[in-house]
Amino acid sequence: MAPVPHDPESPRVADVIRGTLRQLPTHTRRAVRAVVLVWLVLIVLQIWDIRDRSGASAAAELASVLLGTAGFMLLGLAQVLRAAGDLPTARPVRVITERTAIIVDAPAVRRILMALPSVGVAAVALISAAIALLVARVWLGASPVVLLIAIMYAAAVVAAVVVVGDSAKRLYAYGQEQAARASRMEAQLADARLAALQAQMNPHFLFNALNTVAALTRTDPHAAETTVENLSEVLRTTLERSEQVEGTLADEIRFVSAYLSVERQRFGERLTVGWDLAPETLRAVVPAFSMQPLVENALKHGISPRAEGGRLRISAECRADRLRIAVEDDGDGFDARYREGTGLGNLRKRLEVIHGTAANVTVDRTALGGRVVVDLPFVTSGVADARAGR
Amino acid sequence: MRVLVVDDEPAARQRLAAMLEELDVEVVGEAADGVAALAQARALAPDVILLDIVMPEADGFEVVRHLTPPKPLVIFQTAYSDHAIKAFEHEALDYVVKPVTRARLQQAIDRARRRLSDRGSTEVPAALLARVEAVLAQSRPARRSRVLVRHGSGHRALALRDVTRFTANDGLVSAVTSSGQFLTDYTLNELEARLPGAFIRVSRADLVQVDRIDRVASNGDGSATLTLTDGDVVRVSRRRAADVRRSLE
Repeated sequence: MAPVPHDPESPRVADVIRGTLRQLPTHTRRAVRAVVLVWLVLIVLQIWDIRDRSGASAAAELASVLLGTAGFMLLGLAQVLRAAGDLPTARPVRVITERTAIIVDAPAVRRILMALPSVGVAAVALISAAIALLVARVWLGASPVVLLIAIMYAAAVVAAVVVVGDSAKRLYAYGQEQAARASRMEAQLADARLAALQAQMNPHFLFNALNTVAALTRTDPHAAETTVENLSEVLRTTLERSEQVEGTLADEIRFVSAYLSVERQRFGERLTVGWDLAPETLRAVVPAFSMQPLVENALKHGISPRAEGGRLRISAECRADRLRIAVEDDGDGFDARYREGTGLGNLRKRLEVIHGTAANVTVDRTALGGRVVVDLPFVTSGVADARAGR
Repeated sequence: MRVLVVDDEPAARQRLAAMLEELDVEVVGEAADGVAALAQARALAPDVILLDIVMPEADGFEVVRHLTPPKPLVIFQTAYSDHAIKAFEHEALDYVVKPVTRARLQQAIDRARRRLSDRGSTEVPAALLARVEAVLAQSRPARRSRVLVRHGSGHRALALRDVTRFTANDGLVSAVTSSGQFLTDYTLNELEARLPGAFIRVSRADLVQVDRIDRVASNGDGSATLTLTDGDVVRVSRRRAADVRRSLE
C-alpha cells in the first residue's frame, strides 16, 4: 500500500483524547470521580499501612502502590480511548490511483484503535503485579486491610480485561469494515468505468458514423477514408484505455479531437469548434474519458436541435491548484437542469469516487447558450505517480 | 411512387436519393430538418416520406403529428433500434435502420407500394406513434428544447425557454411568449407528456414553466393564484395546488 500522506486536517491523538474527555456525559464523569476517590482512599490506606513496616514487606507495599497507581492511570486512558473509538469515523475517503492503492483517511481513529489493546494489556499487567506484591506482603506479615485492597485491585483487573477484549473486537470489526469499504469502492469504480466504456461505444454514435461513411463513400471517398481513420482512432483508444481510471488531459484532448472529427463529418458546416487550452493544463491528471461526455452533451442539446447549428468552445485553465475544464455552446438548450444525461451523471460519480467533494460538475446557461464546467484539483502526472508510490 | 427524403446529413440524403432512384422511385424533394420536412410535405404532397427521427427543429415524431391531409405513408429511419421496435414492423408504420441497406429499403418500398395500391388509410394512429416513441425514448431519452407552433400556413419551431406558459382557450392551445402568443396543434395533455419537468400543469387551462413563476398566493377556497415573471396572473385549480407548491419547494 502507498504511504499515507500527511494530512494537516487530521487531528492528533492527544486532541481526540482531550475532546473526548470534554464530551463525556455527566454520569460517566461522576463515575470516574467516584473511581478516582476510591482509588485515592486505597492508596492512602496502603501508604498508611507502610508507615510502621520495614524491610521486604514495606518494599513490597511501596512497589505495589507505584504499580497500582501506574496501572490505574493506564486503565483510565484505555477507557477514554475506548470512548474516542466511538467518534464518527466517516472521514473523506480517497482513491489515489489505479486499482488497489486505496487510502482510507482516518489516521487518528486508526491510531487510537491500534493503541487501545496495548494500553489495556499494560494496565492489566501493572495492576496484576500490584496485587501479586500485595499478596506477598500479606504472606510476609498478615493484614486484613491489605487483603481487602487486593480484592479491589482484582476488580480493577477485571475491568481492564473487559476493555482489552472489547477493543480487540472493535479493532477486528474496524479492519473488516475497511476491507469491505475498499472492495465496495473498487466495485463502484469498476461500475463507473464500465458505464463510461458503454458511453463511448454508444450504438447511436457508431451507427450514425457508419451511416456517414456509407454516404460519403459515394459522394466524397476521401472524406469517407478520413472518417474511417478517425472512427478507428476512437474505438482503439476506447479499448486501449478501458482499464485506466485516470489519464492526462492531453490524452483526453487527443480522444475528443478524433471523436469530434467523426461528428463534424455528420454535422458538416453546422458545427464549428474552438479550442482554448492553457499549455500547463496538458499534463494534468483527469478521470479517463472525462471530456467526451461534456462535448457529447453540448452537441446533443446545444448544436443538434438547431438547423443552423452552432459553435463549441472547449477550454482548460488552471488557477491556484484547481483545474477547470469548460465546454460551452451557443445553442438554445432551454434549461440547464434538464440537460444532464447519463454521460455527465457517470462522470460525476467517478469524480466523487476519486476526489470526494473536492471535484464538481456544474451545468448552467450563459448569455450565449449552455455550459458545462468540471472543476477539480490540479494534479500533474508526476505528483500522481508519487502519491501512488510508483 | 413519389418520395420525400428527410435527413439532416447532406451526404446521407444524396445516398438515399440515389438508392431510391435505382429502385425506380421518384424522389420529389429533400429536407434537412423537421420544419422544412413539413413545408415540403405540404407543398409536394408525396406518397411516401422517408423520415429521419433525430433532426434539428422538430423530430420525426413531431413531423408525423403535424402532417396534414393528404397524409403520406411514413417510413422512419433510426440509427439504432432495440428489438422492441420490431414489434411495430407490421403496423401502419414502417422503419429502416441506418445505414440503410439496399435490400431493406427495397422491402420497405415494396410494402409501401402494396399499401398505396390497397388505397387503405395512410394515417398513423396516434396511439401507435406514442408507443413507438416511448420504446425509442428508452434507449435515448429526448429532452426537447423546441416546440412546433403555427406560422403562416405552416409551422415553425419555438425555443421552449422563451415560453412562459401554454394556455388553452376554446379548444385552441397557444404558447405565451414575451413576443406574443403562438397557436400550436398540440393539446395541453400532449404537451404535458412530451415536455421535460420544466413545465407544470396548474389547471385544465394552463401549463406553466416552473422557472417563470414569481410567487404563489393562496385563495380561501383551496385554489391558488400564480404571478408569473411577465406579470401575468394564472389560476391554480384546487386539485393541482398541492402539486404546484411541491414543485416550487
